[in-house]
Amino acid sequence: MKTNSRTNSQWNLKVHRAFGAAVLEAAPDAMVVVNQGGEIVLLNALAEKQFGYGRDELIGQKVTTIIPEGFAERLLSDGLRSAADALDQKIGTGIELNGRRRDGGEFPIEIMLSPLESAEGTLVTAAIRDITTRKILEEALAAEAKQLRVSEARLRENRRHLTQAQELSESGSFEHDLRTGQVTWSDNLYTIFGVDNESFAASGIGEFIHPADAARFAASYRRQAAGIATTATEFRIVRPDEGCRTIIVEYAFRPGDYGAAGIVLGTVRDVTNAKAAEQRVRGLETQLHHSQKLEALGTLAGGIAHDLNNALVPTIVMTDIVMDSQAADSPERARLALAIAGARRAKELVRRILTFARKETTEKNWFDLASLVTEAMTMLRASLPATIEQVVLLEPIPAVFGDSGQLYQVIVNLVTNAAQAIDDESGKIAVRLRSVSDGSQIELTVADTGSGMDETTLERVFDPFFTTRPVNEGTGLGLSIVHGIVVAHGGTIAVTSQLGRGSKFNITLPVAGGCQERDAAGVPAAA
Amino acid sequence: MAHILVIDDDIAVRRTVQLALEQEKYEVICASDGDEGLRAYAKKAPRLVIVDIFMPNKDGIETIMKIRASDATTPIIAMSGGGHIVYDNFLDMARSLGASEVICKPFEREDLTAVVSRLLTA
Repeated sequence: MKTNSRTNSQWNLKVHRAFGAAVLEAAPDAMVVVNQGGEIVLLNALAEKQFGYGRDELIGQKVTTIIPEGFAERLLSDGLRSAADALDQKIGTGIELNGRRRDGGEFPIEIMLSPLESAEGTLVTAAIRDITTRKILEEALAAEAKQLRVSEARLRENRRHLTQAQELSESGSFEHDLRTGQVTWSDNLYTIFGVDNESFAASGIGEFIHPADAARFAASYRRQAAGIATTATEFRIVRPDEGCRTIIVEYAFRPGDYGAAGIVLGTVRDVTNAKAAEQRVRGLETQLHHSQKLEALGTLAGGIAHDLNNALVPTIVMTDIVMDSQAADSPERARLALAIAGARRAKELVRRILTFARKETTEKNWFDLASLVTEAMTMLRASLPATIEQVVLLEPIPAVFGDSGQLYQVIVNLVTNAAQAIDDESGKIAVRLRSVSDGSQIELTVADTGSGMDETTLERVFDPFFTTRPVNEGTGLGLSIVHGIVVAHGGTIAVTSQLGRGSKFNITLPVAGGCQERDAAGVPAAA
Repeated sequence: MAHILVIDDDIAVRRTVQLALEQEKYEVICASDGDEGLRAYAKKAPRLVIVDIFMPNKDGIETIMKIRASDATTPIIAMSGGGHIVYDNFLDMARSLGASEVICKPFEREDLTAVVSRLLTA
């Protein structure tokens, strides 16, 4: 039994050793066993192969032969470590060092250490893994991660640029995948449609289109989705806050494979502000055009006025001299008096043309506009057809500071125009004078039931030389003169008209209370 | 009676002014532009000069300056139909250059004779 038992234990030891040697050889890593003195006592074939030494060459050599730095130091510190701690060390948490091959070449290794109790004392088993490939992979991975971070940063930058560009150009874009039905919007598209990009789920832009444009939009979208190219088209949209804007939509279509449904790409440009600016420019151009015409007229009027004024010298003075030579009650004298009166009217007319052409200063005084209206209407009554009814409504208004001669002409011109719009038909001309805007302004309205004007005429109604009357029947200056006078008085003039129904001219004049003080008796101070 | 020199390129104006003044018993001599006017002025030494502003060859402004260069006292009336430029500007200029009075065309007979009479009795 005893022998048996000894035999058994010897056999066991043999088996154990053989098993240990087998395990050592079968290990997937290079295995090196080192004693406390740092000498190699055992190694496997993989270790031979990895370091390029024969087994005999390494046995008894210092471990620093194959692992120049780190390992020996680690051995010392590990010597102070308990076996339990050492066993706790997990695979993959090994130390990374450099191994040195026989040819001097170094390569990265990872070492796992574990203590091994033996008859010769505590040995250290080192599993040494060549991590060259892993390192290469790790480095590649790190480079890739870095590249990814760079790409992500660039993407973020691009997205920021896109958003900025879209903000600046007041545009946005969307993508509609017809295969999945998914719609995505650029950040600025949310802004254009006045919705929040956090809470609003991007959808087709159709739901924002103004009801009046909806059918047109739907038709164009259908055409586009069917792959038929459409041109950039303008639509109005209504935002959730009910603000109305104008957009221009442009599409591109990317067909799917083999004729399958594809992707509709769209850009949306908000042209509301651009259109408003354009309109302002157009308004300025019209004004410029108007003032250029006025300037031309001024030059022309100046030239005509000079010659007319000279021609009127003999007409007035010579007639006066000849008139004096006639007997006081002679019919010739009376006739010559008419000639002089005519010449004086012509003189006044020239003065007015010059005034209009701003070639002469005007005479401004305080006067009663209501009396002026009455006077003008009485004078006009005689010259207007009996078929035209005059209605004059005069409310109490403050005194007006201005050129009464010019404002008289305004009334005459407007009423004469009204009468011409009524022509030979029967009709009505209403003139109303009242105080508006809490008494800060006076409104003079001349309305007629005449033929009215179309939009084209209405647009040009104050243009000098613009007339709808036949040649020789109108100078095209009447309303232009009215406009000039009203503006020179710091007032405004507006006209509304309906074809076949009549026209209405509204003039407002400021009550010059602020700058023209009156004295205690209510009489304006000398101007 | 005193000589009055009327300088105007417009013959109808010249004749009219001449007749209006002759009616008042003034003796009138006429010239059709500044050059002719200055010659007549040198020759006849009129007691009063009436001169138009806009004239060919030598205009009224230049004529007034020439006269005033050597004669500070003879009354000068400047007249103009204006038009080309704001009346007042040129007449004001004439006044500042030495014109005693300015008259805008067209004027009344009395306006002319009253000014002439006043300047000659002053």
